Amino acid sequence: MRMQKRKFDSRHYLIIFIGVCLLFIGVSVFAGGVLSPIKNLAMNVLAPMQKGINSFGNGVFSWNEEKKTTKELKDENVILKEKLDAQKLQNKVLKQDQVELERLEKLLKLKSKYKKYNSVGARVISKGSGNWFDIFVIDKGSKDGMKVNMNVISEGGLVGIVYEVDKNYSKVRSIINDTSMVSAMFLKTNDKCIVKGSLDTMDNGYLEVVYIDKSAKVKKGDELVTSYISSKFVEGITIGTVYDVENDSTKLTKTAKVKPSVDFKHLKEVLVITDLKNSVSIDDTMKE
Amino acid sequence: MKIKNTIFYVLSVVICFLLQTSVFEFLKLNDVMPNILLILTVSFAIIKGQSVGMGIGFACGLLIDIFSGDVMGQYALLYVIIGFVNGCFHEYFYEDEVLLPIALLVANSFIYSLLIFTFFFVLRGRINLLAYLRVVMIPEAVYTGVLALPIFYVISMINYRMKLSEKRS
Repeated sequence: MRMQKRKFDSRHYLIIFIGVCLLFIGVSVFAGGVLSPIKNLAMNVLAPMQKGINSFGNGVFSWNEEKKTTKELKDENVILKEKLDAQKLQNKVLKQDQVELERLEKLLKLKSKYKKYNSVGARVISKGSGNWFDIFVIDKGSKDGMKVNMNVISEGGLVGIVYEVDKNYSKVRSIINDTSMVSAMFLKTNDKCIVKGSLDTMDNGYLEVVYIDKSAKVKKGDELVTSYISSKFVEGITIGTVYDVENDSTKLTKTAKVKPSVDFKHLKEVLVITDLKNSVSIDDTMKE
Repeated sequence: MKIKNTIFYVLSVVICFLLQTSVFEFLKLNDVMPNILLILTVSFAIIKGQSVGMGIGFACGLLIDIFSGDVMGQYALLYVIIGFVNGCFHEYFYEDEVLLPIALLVANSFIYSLLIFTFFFVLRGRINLLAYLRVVMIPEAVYTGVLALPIFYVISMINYRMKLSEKRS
């Protein structure tokens, strides 16, 4: 009997609760705003507790994480270091590219400076031992139209001359090579002279210029260019600037010191002038 | 004693709700949270009978509604019904029995997620039952079952103590 009564009671409860729930549903569906004060109240009561428990839980778990991750951090550190190294390397490559870009831009300017000559760019791929580019190899060969005696210039001016051509590469003898003799002239006075290559003097930063006429009015700061009578070098390419002139002991000629305008220690890209000088060997003609 | 009981109910509901919404966010396994409010409702329904089960269920459901639902009362209704149905098993419950409540809790968790699926997913046209079963329902049922044991034990212990002190006084 008692059981029956209790069951009846709980069914009553059920109906009441369901009624309340349906009421809530109905109200919130048709008039959502009415219930918001209740919501706010409950939120305001419970939210701080949640916050507290959350911060507590966060604390516990972060402590746990700290403990857990010492090893992980080390591993991660290793990985990150590797990544950093890779990035550094990449950065270096990019920087090098940047520098190269600047150099190439300069070279391009040079090309427009010597516009009357056709030229192709080339890259220095190997050089003789020592810091000076007395002899070096460029990455263009006969395949690319290289021929012996083509002039090689760089951003500063004359570098040298192609003396050997293979299919894929060419060898260049620079004007500072000991065997190099370049017929030159002073841009202002057109006085002829010879620029003697010499690694010895180049160590002191200059090249010797010999056979200057004793009457030539040469002074410090004059620009030296390749002469029009040179048999191999095209006319008018800058070689360097004079920084010292003195009379020879014979008093017949003068000797000058010229500072090459090319930085022979840091050659990387060069331009090869593909126009060969049309020189007629006088000796040959005379032979005939 | 009624006051004591009421305090007990309110406290357990609030604590379980806080656990559910705060702490168990950290205890997610495979993105599944155990439903302690469900455990609470079912436990009280089994231990105390239908009226208390419904009351607790109503409170829990209302809290869920307030904090997560957009329509007030839907979860409350669901939890009230759960409390009522599980209260029917109160007559078969003895305090040293463990298997019945655990089996009930697992079954409830399963049915609960099935109901949720039916009402919140199928009605919106998402009927991929198998995926939902694999990803949510079964893991949740298992996790709830595992967690149900300690919670049920704690509640029944407190209840037992309160009964004892009631008898003494």
